[in-house]
Amino acid sequence: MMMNIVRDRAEARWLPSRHRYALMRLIAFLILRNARPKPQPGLILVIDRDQSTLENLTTSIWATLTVMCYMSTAMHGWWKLAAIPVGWIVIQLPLYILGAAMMPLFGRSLEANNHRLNSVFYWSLMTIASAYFVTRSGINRWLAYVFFAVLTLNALAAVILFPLRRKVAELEARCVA
Amino acid sequence: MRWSRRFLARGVFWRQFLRWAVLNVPIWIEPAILVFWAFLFTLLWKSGRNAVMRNMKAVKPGSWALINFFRAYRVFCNFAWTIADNVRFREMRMIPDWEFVGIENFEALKEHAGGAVIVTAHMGSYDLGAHLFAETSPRRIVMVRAPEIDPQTRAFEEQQKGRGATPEALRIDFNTKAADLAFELLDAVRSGELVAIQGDRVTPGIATLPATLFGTKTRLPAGPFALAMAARVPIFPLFVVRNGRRRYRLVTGSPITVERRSRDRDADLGRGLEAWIAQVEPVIAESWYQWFHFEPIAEPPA
Repeated sequence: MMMNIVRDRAEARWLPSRHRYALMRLIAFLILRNARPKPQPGLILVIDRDQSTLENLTTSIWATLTVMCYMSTAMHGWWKLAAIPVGWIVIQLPLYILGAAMMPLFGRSLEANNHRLNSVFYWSLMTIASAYFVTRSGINRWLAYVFFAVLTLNALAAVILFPLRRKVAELEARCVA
Repeated sequence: MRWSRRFLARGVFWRQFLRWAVLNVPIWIEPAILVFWAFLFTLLWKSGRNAVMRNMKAVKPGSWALINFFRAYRVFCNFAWTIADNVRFREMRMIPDWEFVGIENFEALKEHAGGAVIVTAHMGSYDLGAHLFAETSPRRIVMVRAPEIDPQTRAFEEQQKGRGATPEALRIDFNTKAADLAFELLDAVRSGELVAIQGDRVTPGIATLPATLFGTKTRLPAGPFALAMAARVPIFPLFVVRNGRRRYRLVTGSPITVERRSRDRDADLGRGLEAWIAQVEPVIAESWYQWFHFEPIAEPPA
């Protein structure tokens, strides 16, 4: 088995290749550039773009809370609290609708890896919902602004990272060596 | 009834669902979905939840039932993460980060000439640990697993076992026919292979020894100790502890020797068992939130 791993180096947690989104990759690059070598015998870090706990937990919590807040607009008074379980269920629905029902209808196997398709579907739905809430009043309007601000920042980070890609690769190679 | 069996807690539906989820849930939304299902299982799987809560009472004497309910939820969450990591490794070859504790014991195990018995506890991802060991070491390893209780789930797991991801150096045996397996394992250890067995979980039909775990009278498997005594090989306690999201710690304890010193075989085995308990108790006490023991450890009253 081919494993892309880094041994005994704690600072390798910040390898940009261990992050998925451009914004986090840029942050990781800046941290790694200023990091001192931290030897840690017995540590094996895997180079995989979904490896970052910080990135994944932040994105997951942010997306779930946003959906819960969006759901709360349909409720009044104390019923707004019901948005917590309802939002928690609603955020899963696209997965079951697309992954378990629609994709097999279009001939895609249930055993195929559908991460990318589902992810695009999710972010598209979030963008549509946020575009709707931007036009409304209340706290959800600000959440929708935050959503678009993060999207914009991510796009900007991608633009900044593009000319830096060689430097990023060099820094990573130095850390992995 | 037969059709609905698949939806019980140990039914095959959930294994199939987990596999589908691993292939479909985008990684960034996984934490939210995982904690949701773990919560549902904590609420609905009464026998599993109660067993974990009772075990928590033994690990943390004097603890409150309400607090132990939330502790049980934490155990279920960790279990969900662990089995998801296992399936992800099997289906997508995604491996987690690793940290080694007791590396000198681990190196001793890797360099030990001849066979050895590895005793693990049902915590963290021992499946993933065995795979990693087989990938990174030239040693052949035989992993003995407790069979699934549900026949459909067992068939599904056997079928999954045969999928391409299992390295050549790793053989997985299910502990279904104890007598036949004992001879096979003895053969394997004598020919220099490593045999990994769980030392904290008793399945029907296997030989047991009386023991006291966290002050509770229980029975633990005699197999690993009898095997080490018969083959005259050391036992290496090895624990794979989940440290965080896609992060595991491999803790290797100091080797245990089980020798025949008297005419009383059970007493000699008991000494080995005591040495094992002395190593496993602190690890479980520290990482109670991932001791996946869904049956009560206390012996049922006679």
